[in-house]
Amino acid sequence: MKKLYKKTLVAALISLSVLFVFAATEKWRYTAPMIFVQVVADGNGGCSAAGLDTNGLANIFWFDNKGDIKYSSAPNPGFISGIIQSCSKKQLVYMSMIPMPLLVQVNQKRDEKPVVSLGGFLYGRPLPAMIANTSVFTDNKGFFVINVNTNAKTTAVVRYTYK
Amino acid sequence: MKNFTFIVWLCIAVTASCIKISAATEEWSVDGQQMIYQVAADGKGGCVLIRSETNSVFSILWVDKKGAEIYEAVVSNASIISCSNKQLVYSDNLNDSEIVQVDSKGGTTKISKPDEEAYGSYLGNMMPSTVMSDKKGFFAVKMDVLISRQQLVRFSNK
Repeated sequence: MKKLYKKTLVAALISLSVLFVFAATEKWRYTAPMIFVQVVADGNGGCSAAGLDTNGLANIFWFDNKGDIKYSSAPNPGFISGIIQSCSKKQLVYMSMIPMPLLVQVNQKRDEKPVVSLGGFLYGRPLPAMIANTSVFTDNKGFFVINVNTNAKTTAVVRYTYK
Repeated sequence: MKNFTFIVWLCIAVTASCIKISAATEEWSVDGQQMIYQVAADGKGGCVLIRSETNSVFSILWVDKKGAEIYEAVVSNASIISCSNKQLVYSDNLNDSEIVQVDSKGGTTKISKPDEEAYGSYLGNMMPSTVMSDKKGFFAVKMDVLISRQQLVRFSNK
């Protein structure tokens, strides 16, 4: 009887430890009444996300590793999926359509600066790549997902750590 | 005539102010021909791109951090698999379905199996993935309105 008790206890402990080791933990989420279609991890626990609002306009958000908004753009017309070009914890580059295709560089102080090349206009990614999956969902410590609340008609960018 | 001179000076002033407030600096550019399909940064300031000419001839171009050509080849249904400053790997269907490995001197090694077709990434040539940035800068496709051709432009972050 004692042996059976021991075995049961050991099995329970192993199960608990497995649960502890493999459980991803939700760290933060940002919910909005829009459809998030692109998430680009910054490599340090933060990310940028592009969401299509109820007016069909694209909104860009840049989050730090705690989920606080570092920057949010004005709504952009002419939305395409590959709107965010690159994102690190120091810099965000995305494509604005105001007043025409224009790359915008944003620094940590939220300063927006146009990326200029004389004699033409810049639209970042190659056009065929705009329809491809342009998201980056992971970094070394965790990952991001886009969750949809079908009752509230909202979507959320959710940050998980692996442990 | 006075009006014309005023407009010219206004254009110069606006351009100059744009350049001044722009933080990213244009370093170099390469010809993207009629259309650029795929770009992959090598992580060290260089990149590889797949482009097509108006007669639908596709080519792959690998350039170093100064925009100088390392390797160029005509390709068909090609897809970039990986790129560093030491090595490029891509799939190609020009002669046979094969994987092509290119070293930093432009030397190629081709890998193909008689009973297999090597696609690299599935639908990679139709919906290509791109890597547009590295630690020090980023790449952007530019439509040159004067010649109606595309260019791939390298910008440093500062």
